[in-house]
Amino acid sequence: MTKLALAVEGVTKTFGGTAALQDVSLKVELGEVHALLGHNGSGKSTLIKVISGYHRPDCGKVEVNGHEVHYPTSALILKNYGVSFMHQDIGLVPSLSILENLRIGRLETGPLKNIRWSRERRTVNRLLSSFGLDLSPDTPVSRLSAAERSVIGVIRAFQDVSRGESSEGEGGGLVILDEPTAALPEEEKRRLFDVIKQVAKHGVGVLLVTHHLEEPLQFADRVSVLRDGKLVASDDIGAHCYDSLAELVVGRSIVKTEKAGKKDFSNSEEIISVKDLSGRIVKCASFSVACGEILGLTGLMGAGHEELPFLLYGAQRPDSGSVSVRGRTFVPDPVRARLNGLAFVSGDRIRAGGVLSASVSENVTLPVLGTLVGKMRWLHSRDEVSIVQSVLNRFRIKVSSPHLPFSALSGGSQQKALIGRWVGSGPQILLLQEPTAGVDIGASQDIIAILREFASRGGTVIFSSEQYEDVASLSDRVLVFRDGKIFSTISGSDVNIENIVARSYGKAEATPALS
Amino acid sequence: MISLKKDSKKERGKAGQNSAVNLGAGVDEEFHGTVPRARSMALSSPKEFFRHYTVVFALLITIIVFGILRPTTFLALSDIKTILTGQSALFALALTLTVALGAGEIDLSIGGGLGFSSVFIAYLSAVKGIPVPISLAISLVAMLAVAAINSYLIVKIQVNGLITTLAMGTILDGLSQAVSNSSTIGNIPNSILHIMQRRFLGVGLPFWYSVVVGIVIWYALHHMQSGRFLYFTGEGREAARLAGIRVNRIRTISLFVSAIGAWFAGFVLLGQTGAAQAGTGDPYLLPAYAATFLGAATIKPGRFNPIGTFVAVLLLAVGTTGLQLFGLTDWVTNVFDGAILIVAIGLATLVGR
Repeated sequence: MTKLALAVEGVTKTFGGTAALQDVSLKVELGEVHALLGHNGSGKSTLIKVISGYHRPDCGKVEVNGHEVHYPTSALILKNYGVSFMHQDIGLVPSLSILENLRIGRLETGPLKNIRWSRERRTVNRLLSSFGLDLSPDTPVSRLSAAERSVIGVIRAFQDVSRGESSEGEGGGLVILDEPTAALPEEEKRRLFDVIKQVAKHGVGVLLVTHHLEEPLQFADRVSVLRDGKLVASDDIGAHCYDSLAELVVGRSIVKTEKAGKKDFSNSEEIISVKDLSGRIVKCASFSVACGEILGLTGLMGAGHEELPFLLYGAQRPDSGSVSVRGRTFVPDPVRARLNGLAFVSGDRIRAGGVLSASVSENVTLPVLGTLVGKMRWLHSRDEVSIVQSVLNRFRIKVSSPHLPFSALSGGSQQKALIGRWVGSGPQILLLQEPTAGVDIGASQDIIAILREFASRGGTVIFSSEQYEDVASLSDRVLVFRDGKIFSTISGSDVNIENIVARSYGKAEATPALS
Repeated sequence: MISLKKDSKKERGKAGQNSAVNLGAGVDEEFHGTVPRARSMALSSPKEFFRHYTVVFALLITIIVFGILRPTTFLALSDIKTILTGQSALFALALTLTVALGAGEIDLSIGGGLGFSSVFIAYLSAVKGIPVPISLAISLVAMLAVAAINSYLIVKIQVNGLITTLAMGTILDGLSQAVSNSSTIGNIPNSILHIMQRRFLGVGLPFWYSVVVGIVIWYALHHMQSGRFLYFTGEGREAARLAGIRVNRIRTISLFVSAIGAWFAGFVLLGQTGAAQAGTGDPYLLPAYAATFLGAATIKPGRFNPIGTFVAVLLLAVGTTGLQLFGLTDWVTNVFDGAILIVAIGLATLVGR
């Protein structure tokens, strides 16, 4: 039997009754680039976590580079087996040089434990040029472009596994790349994939985890697709085209008609209009939203939709462009945005949501404190208590006392409280990032109901989300982003999950903008 | 970019849910007719009560122990008055430091600021013969300039506050030496001595000034919108910023408050001692921090609060005075203050969990 880079056999993993992986078997051969596709929640990340030893499978076994993985395992053991990972954030130290990042932990030393820098430099130079890279080993990583960093990350991962050659002469190995192109512009991706292919040529198996359907078509040898925890395909790439992959990823099961009631606001009075807004990812976004409208922003991770609420609120300063609310144009910053009737609920609940050490009550009343100020600017605690009480009751937030710290609330309740506090404070436009991510299904239904009610009273909701079902059920209109640009607009009765998924994964030749 | 870290966020979200369940199990689910206030909640269980008033108990125990060991000297009323009067500068310094720490800023220049203010006021009024009100105004402006530089560096340029204010404190020490020519300035105008040495109810006026300062701070922090904004800025700056709070303004103001506090404490010290000398402010730095951190472990545990600070200064003062009655001098104060600071941050960490 020839040795495989990765052999996953009959792996099942359940979390509290829900099967994240069901009897998954997957083989990655040495020397191939194997793409693993799957939508959010398909079990992709669970599978990676099983391979990396983070989760122990309920049953089944995992073999890497000819070694069976025994759980619990550690990163070090896996490394010795010849497996290495590159995660989305790559994990390079920006202030250190390419050489230091590549060679840390394996620097050659002389008799006095002195690092042999000149020899190291030669080694790294050889390594870089073997991949056709014209970079100096002494360049700090912070000076590299995003693509170059990814390339260095891949080379480091390759170097980690190829180390086995010298020691036991076993060769081979497995490199797992998790969404390596997430933050890369289209033209830079090719450079990265050239390096990835070279890595495979050295006899290493590469498992490429990705959202993007065209990447495996262009660069992979084989492709596997996970959907709802099951492996639905594992074929040579030649057997597939774009449409067949899209069908496998999306599946027919999730295509369902969304409930009616999508309103058309094209003739309504617009409250906010955005002109040529650009940020780090978003390029020249222009659109306007009406009173009472719910606008969903979506796309694949890194497409730009997630940045837009930030820019509209001025939480991150836009590079160019302007926002006008009720005809008043301003360059957004949080204070000005608030004064113009905008409110923002960040997707990063831990860092930028509530203040965990402050009480539930203090967090809830923060936006309405101004209304509680009485004589001598004294805050009326009795009014404060009744406001908190009404928010907690109205949004069904369970907590034994509003004076407990905010951290005592569950994730879903925190999110409800953070949204609810703005609903009561009378902003006209509510901006949200991933409002339903990471909360349980009950809470996410509640959140959708809160937002609908807010809109039905004339409030405007603009939210970004990659939870396509929620986008479909909540939005009156959807803007789908690709590479920072508004790729497509879906409105009225066309707002359904099928369309949203199709446009998010959108082929280049897909028909843009319906409306 | 936020969305890239979604997985780890979900994990943490789950952890949060679990702990919420655990917390919920201990307390009954239903609300009472009206929502219990923090105070009544504190009283509801002995453990909570103790948690809120640890430092108060420590103060009472200290008084009782020393009272029993040295009944005649320690419990003499005059002694208590002396303690209160003698700690006036520390009260003012620690109370204003509470504001800076509450906003999440650290200000190590207050010790140097205190010393500098006292020397500078003395220099202007006694050496240069400038009228007292003008001397006070000039020295205040100098301290405001210090605060402006601190906050420009820390808030605007985002330099590390610890290092910036540490350096600023040293600069102020140096300036004090320059101004005083490294010698003691005496002959302080009578009006300064008068304001600071008169007594009310047997306790020196500076103490009452500090009480007023404390009440103003307590009112602003606990009963005004600005106080809530300040604590949010200190405890979750990004969250506060995104809620539309002007966090940079608040941070700047808090650094001004601590500098003004240092100026006032310097003024008090000058009036009480009747002389000024470079370096007199430094011994106040550590006790001020010990008191604010110890105060953060009580009354409103986990939060820098003026009442807690006030009680903590008392505890420090009673403790050192008591120990000195046993004939242990000078060095005891330092050991005691240092030990208290360590105990305080230990407590604050435990309470914050």
